[in-house]
Amino acid sequence: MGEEITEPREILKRTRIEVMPYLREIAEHSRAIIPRMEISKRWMDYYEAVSKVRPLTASERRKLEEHRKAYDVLASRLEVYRAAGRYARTKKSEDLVALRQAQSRYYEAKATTLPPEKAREVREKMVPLKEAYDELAATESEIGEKCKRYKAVKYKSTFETALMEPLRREAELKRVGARIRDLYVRKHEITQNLKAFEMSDLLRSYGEVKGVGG
Amino acid sequence: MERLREWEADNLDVKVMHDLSPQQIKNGFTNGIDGFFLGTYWWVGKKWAYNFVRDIALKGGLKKAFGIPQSAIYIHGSDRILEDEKKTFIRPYLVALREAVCFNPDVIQVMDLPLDDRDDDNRVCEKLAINRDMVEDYHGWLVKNGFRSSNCYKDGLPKFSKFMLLGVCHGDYCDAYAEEAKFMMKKCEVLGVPVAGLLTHIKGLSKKQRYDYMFQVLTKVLDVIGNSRVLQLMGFGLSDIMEIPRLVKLAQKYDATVWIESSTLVRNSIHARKVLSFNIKNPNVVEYVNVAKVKGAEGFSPLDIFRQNDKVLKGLLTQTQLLSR
Repeated sequence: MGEEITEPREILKRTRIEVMPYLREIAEHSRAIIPRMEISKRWMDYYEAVSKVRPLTASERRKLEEHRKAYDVLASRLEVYRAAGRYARTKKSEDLVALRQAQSRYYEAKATTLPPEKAREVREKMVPLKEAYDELAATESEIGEKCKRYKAVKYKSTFETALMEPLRREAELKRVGARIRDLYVRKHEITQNLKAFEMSDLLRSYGEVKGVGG
Repeated sequence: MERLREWEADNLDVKVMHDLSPQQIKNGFTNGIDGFFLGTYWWVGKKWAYNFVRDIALKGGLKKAFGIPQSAIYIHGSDRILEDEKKTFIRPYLVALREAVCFNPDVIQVMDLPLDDRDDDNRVCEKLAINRDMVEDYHGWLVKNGFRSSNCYKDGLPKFSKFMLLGVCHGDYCDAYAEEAKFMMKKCEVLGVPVAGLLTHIKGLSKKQRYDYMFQVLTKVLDVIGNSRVLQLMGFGLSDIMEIPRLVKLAQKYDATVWIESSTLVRNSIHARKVLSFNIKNPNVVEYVNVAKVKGAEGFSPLDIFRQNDKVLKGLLTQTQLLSR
């Protein structure tokens, strides 16, 4: 058991030495994942060890966060490769589901590397238009009210409708019935006229994470 | 032994997908379950629909918003035609797909047109053609937006996809289901067979004959897809628990993964407050019994009942699977 190093400079020196073999490995194999994960892990350990000695500076905190995100992306990419290999060997449905879930996690990990404001903007653009929802909800609620009125007139369930004359009842039923019919037509029109969305904006926004879909 | 049981539970061929509402999801019904299904009818047409969809989208999906475990499979339903024709509501399917993407599910159900008893041959062909078109368009949209890769395996499935697609195979006779499955399996990871109609709408057949016909359909479909795709029984609500062994045996025969729904379990847990129990007088029968009649379950909340029933059902499935090996 060696003596525990508490000096930040010493911790940095030790971390650099530990990272070196992995850097050499990456120089040989540029697409290697595990050495990259090891490097991120070592740097995360370094920042955690330093944080016990002194508070981290803003740039150090940012770097720690970057290493964490990079580690998540690499780990999920490794999981995708493993799942893809397993599926290629077996071609079984459960391995297909596992592969898709791994790919989904990779996509999510990759998306977290976007700045929060940008991620929010991208997500918000995905939501369908508000007007469509509102107009539909208003029509639905009016249909509900009119149906209640129709039932009340037809089955004399309220005091006012119970005292109604037959001719007036007939006329009221016709009037409310016609309105309900119109509302259903309107509802159908709203649903069918919903524009899918402007693709150009979305495509531009998603261009940044599109590398994931490769 | 304990680890063996865990392994068996993880590798169950038959998984149970619960049909849950947003309220139930919020109340923690998703902990410890295999998966769940969420339909769009819970919010479409409501005043709070837009805010709900937007909130979920900004939080990065339903699972993140409600703290649902990653292991639970989330199936996002599509708009559907309700039985009452006046309540018909169908949006353009790409709008529904865009909304589905906001919820960030594991599986997206492709919108489909169900067949009707009154449909003639031409109408059936037309509807099946529309269903096929919709599957193609869903796939195309996802590829265009970078959620799926255009690079495909030999069997037609894309090499990368953020979402799985659930294609529904309709048909008016056994071979038609199989034919639809053959088409759907090129684009979809999960194939749905709408069995609810087979079990309820067929007139003049006994219950046994109805189940026989359903298993005939499933056999035909499994002959085509084998173990390469997941099979979902849509509307197999487990109203007859005693049919489980037949289903497990069929799944084992093809080494297939089958997902079943459990609307009866949810209904009995939450509304009727009944727990799955063995009958002491006849231990071969498992039935739902009111909590007041079960010792130790008197004070159970709906959530407790649901969890208890889910565990019992999984236990039954594991046991059936082990015994039939």
